[in-house]
Amino acid sequence: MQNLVTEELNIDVDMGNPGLVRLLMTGKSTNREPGKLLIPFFAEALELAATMHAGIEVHFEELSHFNSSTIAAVIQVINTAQSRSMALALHYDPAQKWQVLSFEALQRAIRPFQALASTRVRFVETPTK
Amino acid sequence: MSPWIFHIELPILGSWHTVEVLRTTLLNCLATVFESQTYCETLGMISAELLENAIKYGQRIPTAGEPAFRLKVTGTKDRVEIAVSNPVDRASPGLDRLFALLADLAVVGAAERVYLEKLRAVAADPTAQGGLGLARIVYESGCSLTAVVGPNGVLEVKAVSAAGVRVAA
Repeated sequence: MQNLVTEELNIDVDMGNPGLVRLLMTGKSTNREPGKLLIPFFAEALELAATMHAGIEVHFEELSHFNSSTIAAVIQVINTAQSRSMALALHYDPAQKWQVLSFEALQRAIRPFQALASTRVRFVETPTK
Repeated sequence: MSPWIFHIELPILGSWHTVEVLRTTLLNCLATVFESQTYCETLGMISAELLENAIKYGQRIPTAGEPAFRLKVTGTKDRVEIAVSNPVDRASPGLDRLFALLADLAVVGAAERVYLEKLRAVAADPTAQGGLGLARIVYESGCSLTAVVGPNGVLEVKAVSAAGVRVAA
């Protein structure tokens, strides 16, 4: 699977750990329709992880900003992972207030769906320093 | 109310690219005024979401020589106002939805509920993104958000955020 490289957002695909697909996001996500870029990319990553019987970690810690349309894309990725019963972990930086607010809200928003899902999406505080 | 300590006002081209240019420019400008980087990032987020909303849903036709879009940022020691204006079609059903959303968000303690509802709506239907950015503004910043349509058919959406941080000497 290829890395995603755009003018402002990069996502590196790391498959160096057995049983794990790590997606490392850097830059920022301010596209008008980020879902057009992100959803197919994450769909491919989920497919790859399913084939490998691996879990997926998405690392947002190095991201400097994302817009609300990106949040909409992320919650759709969460939905897809849950519907496929895949182990998904979202890592964010607890030192960045905007990340804490965004991911805590996402966590609360999906709580009703989590109760019905066979696997849980994990939100992981991962300090960068 | 304190006398204003800064005022930035810009006519804006309605291209998507300008949103991020303005967000980062404001971030850098405000970092010379406020000591808290977190607060500056919050103000940057507010301006970007307001601008995105205006460009997505506003009309591009300039009215009576005015630019189609305008950003105003006014700061005092105790509050910052960020206003984005653009022409609107008064008959647009989107305008009713905007005012209904702002009324919902204005209820004390409702911001989290409204934002989570918006997120759940998007999870269920990817096309249901309307209002997510405005709900995010109020939820993440705790600011108040109001809107008014002037007699010239220009909509102004304004966020008022209590500064609560020390201003650079």
